[in-house]
Amino acid sequence: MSKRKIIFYWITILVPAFIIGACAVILLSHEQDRRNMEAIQALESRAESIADSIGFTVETLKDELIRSLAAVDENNIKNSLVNWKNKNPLIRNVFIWDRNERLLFPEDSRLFSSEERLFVKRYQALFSKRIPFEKEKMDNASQVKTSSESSGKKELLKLASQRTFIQERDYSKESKNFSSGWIPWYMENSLYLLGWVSRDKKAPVYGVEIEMVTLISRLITDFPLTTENDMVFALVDGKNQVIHQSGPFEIKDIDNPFVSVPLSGSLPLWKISVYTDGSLSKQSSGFFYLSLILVLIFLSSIISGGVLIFKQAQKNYMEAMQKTSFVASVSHELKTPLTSIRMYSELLSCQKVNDEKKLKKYADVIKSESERLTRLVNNILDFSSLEQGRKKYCLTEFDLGEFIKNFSSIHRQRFFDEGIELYLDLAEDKYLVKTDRDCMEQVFLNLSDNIIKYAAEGKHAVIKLGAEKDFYNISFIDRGPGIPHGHRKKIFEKFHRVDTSLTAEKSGSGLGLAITAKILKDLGGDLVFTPVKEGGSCFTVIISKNVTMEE
Amino acid sequence: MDKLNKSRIKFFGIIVFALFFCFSYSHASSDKKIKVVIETDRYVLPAGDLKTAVIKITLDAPLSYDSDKRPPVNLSIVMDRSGSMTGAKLDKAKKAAIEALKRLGSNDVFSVVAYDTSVNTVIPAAMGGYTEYAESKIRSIEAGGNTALFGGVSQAAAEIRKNLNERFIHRIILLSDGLANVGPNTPEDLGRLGTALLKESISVTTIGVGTDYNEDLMTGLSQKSDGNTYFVESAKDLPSIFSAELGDALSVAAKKVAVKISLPENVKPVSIIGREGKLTDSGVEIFMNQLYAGQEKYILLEVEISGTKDNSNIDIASAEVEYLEPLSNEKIKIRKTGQAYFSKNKDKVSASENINVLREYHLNINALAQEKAISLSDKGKTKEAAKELKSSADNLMDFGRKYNDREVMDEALKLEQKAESLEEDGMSKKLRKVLRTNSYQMKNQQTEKE
Repeated sequence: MSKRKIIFYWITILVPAFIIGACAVILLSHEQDRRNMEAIQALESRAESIADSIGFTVETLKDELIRSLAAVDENNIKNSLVNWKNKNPLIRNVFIWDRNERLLFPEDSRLFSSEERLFVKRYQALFSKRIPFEKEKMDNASQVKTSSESSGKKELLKLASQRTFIQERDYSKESKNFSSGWIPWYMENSLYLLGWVSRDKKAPVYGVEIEMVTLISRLITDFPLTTENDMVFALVDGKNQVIHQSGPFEIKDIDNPFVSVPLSGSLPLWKISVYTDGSLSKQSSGFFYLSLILVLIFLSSIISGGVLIFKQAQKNYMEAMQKTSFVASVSHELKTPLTSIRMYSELLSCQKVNDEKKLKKYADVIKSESERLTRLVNNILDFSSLEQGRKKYCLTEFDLGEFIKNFSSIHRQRFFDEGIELYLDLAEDKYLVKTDRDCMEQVFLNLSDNIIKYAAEGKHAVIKLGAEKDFYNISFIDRGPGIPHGHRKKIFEKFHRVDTSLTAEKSGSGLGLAITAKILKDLGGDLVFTPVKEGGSCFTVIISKNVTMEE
Repeated sequence: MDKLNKSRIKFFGIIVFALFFCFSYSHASSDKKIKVVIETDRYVLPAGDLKTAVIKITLDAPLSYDSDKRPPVNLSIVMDRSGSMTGAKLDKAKKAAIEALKRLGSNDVFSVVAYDTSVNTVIPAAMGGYTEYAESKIRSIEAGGNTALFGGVSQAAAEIRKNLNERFIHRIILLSDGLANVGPNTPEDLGRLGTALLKESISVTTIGVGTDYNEDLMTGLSQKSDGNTYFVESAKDLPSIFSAELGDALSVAAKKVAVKISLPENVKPVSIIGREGKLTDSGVEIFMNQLYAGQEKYILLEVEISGTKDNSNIDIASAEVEYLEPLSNEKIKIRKTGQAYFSKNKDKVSASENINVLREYHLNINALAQEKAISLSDKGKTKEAAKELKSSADNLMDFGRKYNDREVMDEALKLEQKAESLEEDGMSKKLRKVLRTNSYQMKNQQTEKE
């Protein structure tokens, strides 16, 4: 194949393939980015919905607590509040402040509990007027939606509106004068929520501190469960500590969430964070790599397809060449004996030769040439039936030693005629074998013919029989010129000849060894070539002792 | 009942009392009611100015009901399944939980929550006792991950809350062998969770397994929610502890026990020894979530008494006990007034020691000493801690010898051994747990189950 053709092949197949591949990779990386963005957005919206739900609950809760506070019996504020605190797990502390740096409750006394002492200390800045209570109108408009609330939240809201300690009053009318508010209070990095109410600008301020532990404890039981194995939704507090998480694995790097949404307003500095175990980015890059692999497979299939077609074409070309040379050599082979036969038969037919000896010689030549012709035609016929698998084998049991002796006695003369001494190397023993006798004869004949044709200069030939457990090895050893190195692998191919030129010294079709090998393989044996060190070649026939033919 | 009236006309008071008892007898037979006894550390108290005394208010719960007639329980078991529980611990815990489940009846409610890094409800609260399905669910619990103790208890409380009505005895049993490291994790936070749960009548019993759990956190949670606490060093004791705990939960004789102790003007409360309670101007308020059948719980109150006359008899304290009878959920109120005799005769006073009160007083003081030793050793003062234990042991031994009280002497010996091992090897994880648990068990009068 010319270089130009090869270059053409590269251009037409490889270049478009690589262009397609490059485009696909670019598209893929874009798709990858888009998917990542989508995943982040989806997570963000999920975290937001959790944050909204928690925020809504907390806000509603605060509203309810303020309503409850506003409904406290003004004549007995202290007892109502204390009672409320004792019964309600959501209330941590209650207080009444006179707006003049003095707390009416809890009073500093011998009976101060440690909790109360800490409470007063915590809000010192507030009660000593260093930080003002916010002036914020109570929002009566906020409506409590309960339809979509889960049971846990309902319970929580029920706690906030639990005001069994006083009679229900219509406080909404008075609410114009009410001021109220919530103070998120950070102390030593912990969040506290303080709600307060005042009936008018001069009346004492009273209120409650929410028990955050209860609030958290109730909120987290409503925290949605994640079904994913590779991500964790977590409620993270102002100290950057995980309050609660839903998800199967341990959060390793709390400071670096995948997505984080603040719970602004209701619980300042708190947030809902989403963490991944790294498999999410792996997963999406997995998509990229998978697609890349697909592209590579696509490319390689294009290229290998091209290579395959190229090889096939080359093979077809070679076979066509071989067949041409086969036809030429076979024609030559047929023509040579035919020429002799025609010549001698013409001589005989013109009846000018009267010498008995000459007549005899002419007839012998015609006979031997026609035999040669028969062998050639037989070989060709055999080959075609072998190729098509139509060859039928007839298995009989016979003694191989006997067979070889018989063969050598018949063909010794032919060897001798070419100046070759034939030796047999076999022990006096029975070598029973069950195989096709006629085929064996053909195998022996082909190999002997090869020796006679190509190795006559060696003067010696040996047929050696050896036995193994299941096989017999019969070696045909000659001292001829041997087989050139480059041809050793190809000699069993059909039509192959060492010298393919029409002017070849030796005649032949290039089918002998191919047929022999095929027959032996069909009979469960093999034909092996080994060069002989001192020059010459050795063909070893391996025959299975007992062939079982498949029908 | 009016206090002033009582102090003025003593006998009238007694008659009214008798009437009150008759009235309550009509509700329930005498053996099914809590017995209240008020005693002082001496039968004869020294008269005169400002003297301290110890008042013991004992609540004696009646013996158990018939086994087929008991208040239903609403039980939630919280199981730590963090990585460290792998193996025998978790297996035993599961077995114990299944045994506990088998003991429940068709009226009881049962749920199981397991937690590691996150929390999941293994069996949601359901009525009806043992089923094979429930057993298979418990068996399927596998270990791994961190410990979200707070979340676990919260989830269990949510399961309990599904049936939060007065009919049930609400109880969470928490079993853990490790530190809480997801969510709120300080003893204070968990204590406050306990306080909040107690307001809903939910008690948390904590069982610490091995020597790696946080005993302060676990006992704190129990103490604030009026539950029991246990320390088991090896998992093989788990089933017996579970069964003891369940025995308690199944034999509750009184629920929501509120004790209001009123003191006359010349008796000022100084402190409540051991128990959690609230001092008010005129007395003390104490709340217990439940009393177990046949069990005796008491309150030791240290008071200052002033202005008493020689040879006088005054009402020293009056207790108002209000509780729910667990089967019928009837509210029962008992009032009892304790009197004390005052004398200036020193011989009389010193000869009138009430061993009953003094014994418990010393044991409780001993419990407090153990806590002090823990906090001292936490500050690195191991020697002082050992000294504290030793002196407490000595005091206890003196007391034991004086009254020939074997039990107290044994306790003193045990404590002395602990003091010695503390001095030699420092505060081991195990010793700290033993001290913390014993101290709480003493203060709570939790009967030690072997």
